[in-house]
Amino acid sequence: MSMRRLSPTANLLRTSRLFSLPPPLPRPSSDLTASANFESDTATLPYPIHAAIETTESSLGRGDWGLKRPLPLKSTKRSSTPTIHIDNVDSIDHITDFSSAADHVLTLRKWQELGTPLSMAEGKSKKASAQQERYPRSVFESQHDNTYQDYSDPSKQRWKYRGPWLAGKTEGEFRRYVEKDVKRRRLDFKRFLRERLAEEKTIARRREATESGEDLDSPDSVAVAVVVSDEEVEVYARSLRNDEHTLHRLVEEYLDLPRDRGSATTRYDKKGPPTTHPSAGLSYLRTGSHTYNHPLLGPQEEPAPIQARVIRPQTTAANAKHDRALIGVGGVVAEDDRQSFTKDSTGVTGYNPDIPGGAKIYIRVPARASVDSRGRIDITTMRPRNKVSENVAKGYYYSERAEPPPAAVEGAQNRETPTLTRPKPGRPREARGYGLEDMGVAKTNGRASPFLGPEDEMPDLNDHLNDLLRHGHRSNPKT
Amino acid sequence: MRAAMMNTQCPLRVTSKIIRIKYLYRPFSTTLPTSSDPPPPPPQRPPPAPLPSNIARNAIRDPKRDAGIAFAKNMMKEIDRTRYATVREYDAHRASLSDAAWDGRARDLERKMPRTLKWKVGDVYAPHDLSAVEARKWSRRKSSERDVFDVLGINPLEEYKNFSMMSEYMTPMGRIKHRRETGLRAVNQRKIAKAIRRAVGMGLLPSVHEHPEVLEVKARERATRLENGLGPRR
Repeated sequence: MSMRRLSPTANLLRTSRLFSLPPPLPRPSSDLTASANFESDTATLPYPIHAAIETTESSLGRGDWGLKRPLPLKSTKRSSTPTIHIDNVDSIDHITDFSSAADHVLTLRKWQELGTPLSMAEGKSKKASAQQERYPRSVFESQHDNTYQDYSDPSKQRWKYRGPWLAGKTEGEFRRYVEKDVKRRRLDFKRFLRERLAEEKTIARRREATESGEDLDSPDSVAVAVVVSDEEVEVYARSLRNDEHTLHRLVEEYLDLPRDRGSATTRYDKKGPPTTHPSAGLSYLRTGSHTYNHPLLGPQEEPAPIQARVIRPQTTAANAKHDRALIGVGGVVAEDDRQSFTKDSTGVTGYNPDIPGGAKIYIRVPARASVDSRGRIDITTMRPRNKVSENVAKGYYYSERAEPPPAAVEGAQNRETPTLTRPKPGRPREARGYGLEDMGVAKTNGRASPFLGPEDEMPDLNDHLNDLLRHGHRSNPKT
Repeated sequence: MRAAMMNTQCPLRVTSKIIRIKYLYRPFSTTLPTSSDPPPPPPQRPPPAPLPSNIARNAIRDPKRDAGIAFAKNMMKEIDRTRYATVREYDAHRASLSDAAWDGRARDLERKMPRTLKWKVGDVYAPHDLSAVEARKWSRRKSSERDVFDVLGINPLEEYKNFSMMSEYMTPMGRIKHRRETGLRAVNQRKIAKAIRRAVGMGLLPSVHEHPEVLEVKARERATRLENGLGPRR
């Protein structure tokens, strides 16, 4: 109704991109050090701070993004993921400042392909007696997914508070908070105390009346509403100074500070409440426990494992040793779950430049991930239980097909002509991860069996020689 | 020999035995062995044959029982042998190359990726983050953007006696660091400069080098780093 009453120009403004763009979130703060630190201002942030926008294909051709002016086609149209974020709608130089938002957009898309549900950040207890819950608790459980305090059910927890997390503030930040936000609310707090006192007195009055047998509902009874004088409030405030417990409770309620529940059930109790909804909008799934059905092999014990990039090996340059390697799962850095004490050539224990495209390992599709208090994603990774599912993912489940040599070996032998094998486009998405990428190729060559890939074709003389050099025998003597 | 004799009377039997053996097996002897010398130890018995495992024992008793397990075990062994044959070949190939040169190449390439050491759990990366452009940025020093004293609520003027804090804002040659290095706001930069000058004037801080205790701590840190094989800090 109100929209119609507005003038067309006002209506246009209200529905425009200009007004629908939310202000950016504050940049994640870097670590506080007095000495110089190393970082890049253009690096991908642990969480997006700008809203990503996209446009229809026809508008993209005209550079129309619903903004004040069309954006240059050269830098927007060529991208395979034309999504942008706006740094400045209209700068002083009459320029719309924008850059690509493909990093986080693709991370989200990768996450959705993983299908990993988000769970509450569990407190990692080091005690052996305290057994970690076997099943992660979804962030969408009614016990956690609340924005208001339900006083009737104390087990229900909130994730959103209006007040700050005081334990996480530094001395200077705390002082500034008290100076800027708390001090000016003095009078309001007095009013709050007066209300509380009135409530307390009313309850006391009611109890008194009930005990003495008065009928409170009858019109001739003494009025229940109590009047609180200024002096009484003053006396009450003074008495609170000696009653720390009550004062703490009142302040907590007044400023809406994150509740200190004593026993830490989630990590949010120790590291502060989450800055976002605990799912961070990454996934709306409640659980990831469903059986995966292989198109040829039938239901599988576990889903096809995924490849993870080794971001930081266990041992890095200058022999710096770390507990575990860091791996990138769908563009998010996580810790490897295995620790090895011997050096090998897989690229996990130490950097191996022989592997083309960098070292990668197979891991299971992560079943547990959470968003911590600072908005960073924490994935729990697990290597496949055995090689079966890994081979299924690679397509080496046919017994007569020789298993491929490790990536490093192949890389070392092909160093003169490094090749980057990418999944060929045009294959059905469902086939990816099940080792069926080569299915179509085999069919075009007139082979009926989907088990036969391009590796099974008749190798020419060079391949034959290579095989002999690599394995000492031909990889597939059948052909 | 006298020592050995004395040791034979030693109440501690174990010590005497050790010393006797030591004397017995000395590489050169200038004297003939006497009767007081202990007899040579009996020739070692061959090690006992390993006890048959449960599977083997069962297989002896009943050839059909556990045959499946034995078969599976053999099969796994065979698979492992073939699987790691290629890896072993590769390792042999690498060993035949000059190992130092390979390590050097790896280290050189790793040094070109300065973010390798700085990745943290929860970082999100896109292809751009692994590029050379980003690598160059991560190798450059940046001064802190936040004023540390404001964040911590400390007045630097009151800390003039805290030589470790003062040394953070001095160069190793005793000069006060510039604001672009310290990242402080003007007020706090003036205060810390004044505090350093005050400390130097009072003789609490040397004016041409770092405080001796800071130097000592740095030397100790360097030693432990070298001991742990971490190498010098770059």
